[in-house]
Amino acid sequence: MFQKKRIGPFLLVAGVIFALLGLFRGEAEAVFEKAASLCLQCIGIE
Amino acid sequence: MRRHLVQAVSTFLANANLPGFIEGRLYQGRLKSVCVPFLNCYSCPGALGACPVGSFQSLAAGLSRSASLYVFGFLTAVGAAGGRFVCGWLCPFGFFQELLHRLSSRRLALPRFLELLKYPVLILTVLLPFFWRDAVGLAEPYYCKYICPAGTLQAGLPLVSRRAELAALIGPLFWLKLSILAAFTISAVFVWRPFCRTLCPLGAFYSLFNRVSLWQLRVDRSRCTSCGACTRRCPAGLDPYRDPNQAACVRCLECTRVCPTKALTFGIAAKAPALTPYTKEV
Ligand code: SF4
Ligand code: SF4
Ligand code: SF4
Repeated sequence: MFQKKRIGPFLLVAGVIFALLGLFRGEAEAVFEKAASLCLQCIGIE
Repeated sequence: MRRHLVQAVSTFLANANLPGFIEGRLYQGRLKSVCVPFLNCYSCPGALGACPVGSFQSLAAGLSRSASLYVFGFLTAVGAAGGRFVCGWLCPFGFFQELLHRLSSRRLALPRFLELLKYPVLILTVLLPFFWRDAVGLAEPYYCKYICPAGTLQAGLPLVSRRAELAALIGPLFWLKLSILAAFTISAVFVWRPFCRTLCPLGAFYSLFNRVSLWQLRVDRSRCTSCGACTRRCPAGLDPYRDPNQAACVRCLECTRVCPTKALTFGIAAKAPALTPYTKEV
């Protein structure tokens, strides 16, 4: 239990670090390009 | 009721580009680079942010096969904070299914084994865009393409109804996706959140954090009288006083509201009451 209680905070910090690394790699721009253009697969016509 | 209000506000804020629905055009401002923590199609004309499931797959499907640290890290942080709390309180597609469920008083149980399906779906959603490539090395967001009913509801239907050039492209794939949406829409009237429980890859991902997240459901055994009020109230058919934080719990917190002795609470795990025979350690 002692250790289990620490998994959540650890993963939270790890997740934030990963997300920041992704942002650092310019992934926000890549996400923007996908999200701002029409996705034919989402609509179901390609 | 308070929860439905929060769900409604979240649904509105995530899809507040209202002119887009009339014009059949997507919002293309900078907010689109920000992932939302729930399933909300980025091709919905109203969407202001990016769907994490679509974003992850689309980046993986590119020629560079990029595993997005941004999306993965963001979802990990959200899951580590509250497990499936987002499902219970913020996700528009979860809210949609719950509204449908209010239409009938007839309640059908879901066979438990169907709830396991979402894990292979999660694995395939993550892996297929990396490995299922065509002759020129390109892949697609296969979950979006073949399954996602949120995409059909939020992007497919509004866009083909507003744009003739898209309606002209409708083929078997569209009808397949529409059938999936129809099946979940009808079943949601009788079964509580059938899509969340059986196929959603994001719900599957968040469920992995339920037992370890920072915020947890907690049972104070010194207060619990085992009256079973929480079990009778739980829409997912769970037994929170015996085993809180199961993977199927969407953290709607209805059980904490009906507990007559306030033995069930939702709070920071480190402050949880001591374990008892009824609260399993994993
Ligand atoms: S089709 Fe579904 S998974 Fe894909 S971007 Fe839209 S909502 Fe997200
Ligand atoms: S399981 Fe998926 S669709 Fe259901 S509420 Fe969670 S993220 Fe939304
Ligand atoms: S256990 Fe409680 S929080 Fe979880 S789904 Fe059931 S009622 Fe909602």
